[in-house]
Formats: sequence, C-alpha cells, structure tokens
Amino acid sequence: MIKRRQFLQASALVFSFNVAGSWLELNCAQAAELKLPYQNFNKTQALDLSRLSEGLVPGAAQAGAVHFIDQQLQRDGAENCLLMIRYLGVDPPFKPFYLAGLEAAQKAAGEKFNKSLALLSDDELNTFITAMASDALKGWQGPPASFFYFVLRADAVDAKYGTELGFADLAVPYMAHIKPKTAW
Amino acid sequence: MTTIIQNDEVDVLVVGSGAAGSLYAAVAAKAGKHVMILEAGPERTLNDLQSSQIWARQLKWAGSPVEESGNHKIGHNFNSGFGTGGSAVHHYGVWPRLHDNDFNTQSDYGVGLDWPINYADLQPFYDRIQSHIGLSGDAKAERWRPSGEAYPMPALPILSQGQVIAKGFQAKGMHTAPIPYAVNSLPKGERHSCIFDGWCDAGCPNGALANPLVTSLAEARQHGAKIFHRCQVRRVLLNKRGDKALGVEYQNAAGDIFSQKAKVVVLAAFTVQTARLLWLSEHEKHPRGLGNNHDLLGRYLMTHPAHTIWGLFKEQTQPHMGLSGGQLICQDGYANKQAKPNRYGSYQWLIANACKPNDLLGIATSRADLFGKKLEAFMHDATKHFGTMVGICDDIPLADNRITLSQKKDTLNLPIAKAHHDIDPRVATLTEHMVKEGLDIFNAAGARESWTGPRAGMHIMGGTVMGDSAKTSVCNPFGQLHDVANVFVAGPSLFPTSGAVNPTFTVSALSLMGAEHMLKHWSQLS
Repeated sequence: MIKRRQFLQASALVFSFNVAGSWLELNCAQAAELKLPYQNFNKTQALDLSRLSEGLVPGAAQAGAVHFIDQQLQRDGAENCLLMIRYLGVDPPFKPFYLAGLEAAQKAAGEKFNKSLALLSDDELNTFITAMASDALKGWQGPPASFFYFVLRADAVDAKYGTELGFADLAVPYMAHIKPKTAW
Repeated sequence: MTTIIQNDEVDVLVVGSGAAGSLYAAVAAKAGKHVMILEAGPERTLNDLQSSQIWARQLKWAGSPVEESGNHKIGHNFNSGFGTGGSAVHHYGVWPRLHDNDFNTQSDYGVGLDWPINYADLQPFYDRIQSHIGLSGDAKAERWRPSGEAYPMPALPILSQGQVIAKGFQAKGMHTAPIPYAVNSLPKGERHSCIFDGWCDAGCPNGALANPLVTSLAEARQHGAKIFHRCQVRRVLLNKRGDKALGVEYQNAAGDIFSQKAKVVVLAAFTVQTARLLWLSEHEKHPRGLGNNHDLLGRYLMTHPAHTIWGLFKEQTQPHMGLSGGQLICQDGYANKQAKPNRYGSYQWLIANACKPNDLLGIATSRADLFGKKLEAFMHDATKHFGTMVGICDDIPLADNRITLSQKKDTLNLPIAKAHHDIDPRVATLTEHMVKEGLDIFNAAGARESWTGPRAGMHIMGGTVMGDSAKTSVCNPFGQLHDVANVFVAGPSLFPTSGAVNPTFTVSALSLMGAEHMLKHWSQLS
C-alpha cells in the first residue's frame, strides 16, 4: 500500500517529455497542467491504454505507464528505446505493433461489451484480459493477443514496479550503485 | 559515388570490444603493437551503468536486426550486447570451466564435433586468466571441477536464498558449491569487492565484476590501443589472390566509409555478427563468403537450452540480494552425457539468482499468467519469499543450425543476418529431465509452491567452429581462418561444442591462446 509520503514522492516522479523538439523533465501533474499531448496516441487511445494497463497491473496508470510507452516510442527504432519489446523478437519500429494491438483490443472490447476499453467495469476488464491472455477473443486482428498481453503487462510492470517508488511500494530496498537520473 | 577514405596501416585491427576482442587488444598492445578497435555500438563508461532493469536494456543489442527462425531460437537481442565492452558488460561473471568430456563428444559419444584441442591444452590459459582477473570460488567444494589452480580469492558468501534452496539439494543427496565468479570477493587494485546488491544485469560500475571496461579493455587502452565507436565494419578486404587480409572497410556514424589497412585482422564481433561479416566479405577467390570454401560458414550455431525453476518459500529469501548469476552451482549432472537412452548432454544448475521485480528475468515475469489484484498480491509475497534457479543444458551442434544472410537489408544497405536454430530431440529430453529434477529439489527444499516457465536460449556459440581441417571447420585451433592466416576469429563462435557451462571464461582462455599464437608467429603473418 502506498503511504502518503510515497504518494507525494509519486507526484514528484519525473519523466521526460518531448515538447516542440526539446526534452523537458516534468512530473505527471505538471505534464497534465500543461496539457501536453501524447506523441503517439490520441486521447481515446491513451484512455484505453491507460485502462488496460491498470487492469493488468493495479497502480500502473498512476505510475505513468502510458507516458512510459509514449515516451519510449518517440525513441522508436533507436538504441535508447527502453521497452522490453526490443528483445522480444519484434523488429523496430515498435509503434505499429502497439497501435495494431491497441486497435485490436479496442475492437474486441466493442464487440464483446459494446463499450470502449476505458469504460469497462472492473469485472468486465478482468474478463476481457483473461480472454486476451489466452487468445480467446473472437475476431482479434493484430499481433497475437497473448503476446500483446505479455508486452503490455511488462510495460505496466516496469512503470509500477521497476522504479525506486515501485520498489518502495514492495518494501524492497533499492540499493543503487548508480541511481537512475530519471525513472526511464 | 561514395568516397572511401584511406587510413594509415595498423598492426592489429580488432572488430568488437567485448571479452574476446578486448583481450586480443590488450595482449597485442602490451607487446608494443599498434592496435585499433572498431566498435559498432556507442561508447559506454562505468558511469552509464545505472542501477535499473529499465535502463539496463540500453546495454542489449540495438545494431543490425537479426532474423531468427527454428523451434528453439537463440534470443539474439537479449543475449547480445551493444557498445563498449559488448555482451561482457552485462554478463554475470559466472566463470566455470569446460570439462574434459566436452572436448571429444564425437569420439566419446558419437555426437557433435570434436575440438582440435583438449582440456589439458586449455588448462594453463584458464589458470593464467583466473590469476590475472582474480576469480573467487571454492575449488575443493566443486567436486566435479576439472584440474586447475585453486581460485585466488575466497568464495562469495551464500545468502538466505541460497541457503534455503541448498537444503533441497542436500535432501536429494546432491551437491552444491559456491559459483566460481569473475567477481571480486576482495578488492583487487582499483576494483572494489562485490556488495551483493543484485544489479549485475545492469552492469557493475564499481569494478567488482570483471567486465572489459575494468579489465582487458582498460589494459589495452593503457598500453596505447585506440577504440573507435559507432564504426560498423562492412567487410574484410583481401589481396587479389585472396590469401591475405589487407584490412577492413568500415562506416562511421556520419556515413563516411573508410578503408583501414592492418597487418592482422581479429574478428570478435560476437557469434552472429562475426559470421555475418565473413559472409559479407565475399571475394573472387571466396565467392560464397570468406571462410566458406567448404560450405561450413555459419553452421553448428548453438545456444544453451535453459529452464528456470521458481518457487515460494516460507522463509524470507531476500531475492533482490546477491548476484544475477546466482550463488551456488551444481554440476552433479555433468559427467555422463548419455545417462539415459534418447537423451544427451551435461547440465548444471545455477542456484539463487538475484531477482528484481521487473524485466524478462524478474519476479513479475515468472508468473506471466497473473494480472490485476492477483499479480499485486503475488508481488508483495514473492519479493520476500521468492527462490529461483536456472538449469543449463548442452546443445548438440547441428549442421543445419546456421547463420546466413537474409534478403532484408539494414540501414547501411547491408544484408542482415539470419539465425536458424532447432533443438535436437535428445537435448529436449534432457531439458524435460532437468525440469522434473528442479521441481523435485524445490519441493525438497520446502517450497510451498514451485513452477517453471518456457525453455529459453542462453548464450550464443558456434558458426565459425575450430578444427584440424578446412574440410571440417572454418578456423584452426588458434582461431585463424584456414584460408587466410592473418584473419583471426575470437569468441564463442569458435566452439565446436557448447558444453553446459557459461562461455566467457573459455572465451577468455581461447583468446589468450590465440593472441599469444599471433604474436609468436607475427613475422609470418605480417
């Protein structure tokens, strides 16, 4: 459970945002205040991706999962992209993979529940992800659903548990040799 | 038309700055040779090795893509490094030796290939390397260890995860020993001793782990070797007769193409890229690629089939502590490669690997089936009570497992590599046995639950194998191309068999042997 002190730390967690070609280090609240758009996702895509990430890993949305993916896709194809997909046998650029997987998920959610991903209830989302993980969603068209599940889950785990704050949430001592300058 | 810039001749041109290339460079530079290293990736320093499993990914391969196929892929991008120090920057420093029975598998078992050398030929080089680097371990506790000098440093301590799992081995009548590590248990020169914080996978910036940044490459630079980053070698240049290398052609980040003359060329670009480079170096006398006059280039590609066992224990295991490579080793399953019919190979356990919450080898991925609240509950439990060990099997070198060129091209308009690897059914049977044994051990250790995941490829070997004859191999026992004596190949691509141990110690021993041979015969080569 995140304590108040950790919550405050979370709100101070810094991410790099590309604004008009320059990289700014901002926390999520500052980014929201500036209404910085995502670079690779429209508003609907971002909301759906956020909901899906949260369903996979509780707390991932607040931890900045969509920012993480969005920011790394801006480095797409470059050696600095830090998404796990870079060693999962998918050739760069990775953006088409994410967009195709998300579009398939959006359509599948629409067919199954007649709702967008962002509006699924917790139970519906749980049912949806269970089917996604086992390639049991009818009409899925995109990268294999179970693989998209694996990749997105890994990204959400990174955002939630792969940072100093995530370690603290698990009461795991971070013990850095060299502390990362930013979470990612 | 592209301008080719002519550079002055160097004595030794090394392609790749990993464990093998750096060692060649150090030996040659110490002998007074003018050494140049061309590294395809970016420059890295110890300060770049941030403690983060997310940031650690920047150490992995990001060069020319590799097209993979087969029923047991080699996992190229995960198993390969990119930048100064190559894969050795993120390697875990687990340095066991090959065994006597790894060198003559065709003669002894009718399987695979024979090496042109024996363990006895390599032992002095293992001993010298371990003395120079400063390995830690307990030679007496390794009841299976082949002959050799004792380790110069005491073993690293066994922490709670290792102690818990070791009980399972004891209960099954099996044996464990501290892992032989190229990691300091005591300070050595400017290199500190290990602090057991489990960040080896992200690179060790305090110098405890012997990566080239603090060992061979540092020595090479100290003795005048120059390294140039973001320089992609395009091909080896040969004389008209095709029997001598003149140097290499490479391209820098700005796109300029250089012709770099050299008396000797050392190809140490790791398994796949070394073979690719030979394919790309076709010549009138080598129309099917350099080193391929007998259609052997790229063949016998190997990877260690590996399985991880995971469990949850009632004890606090502190899984984030220790070393990524583990704490204990068991090679009880090494001596007899044909213990059962239809099964082949030695295997070893690396026990109690340090695990962080995220990444491919992290705690969350061990239960990839969990999500939502169940995953959350698991994470809070597992980060206290998790145990893990990995079993590593022999691979059988199969001629059809091969590195070739793809039809696809990279950003330099060069064909990318294709790597095909299938697992032999006899090895697959061995992995099944190993998994069953591993789960039994965890149960015997008191795991409240234990499980395993998919088989994976660990390490990449073969493709330019050594042998006595050009009809059966690409290189001679010293790594020289049979067809062109002043081209040396260095690295695990030389291995005719994989053994079931981590390869970097053997890579280092072979590189020392090859580099000294190069110097001894310098007048004939240059």
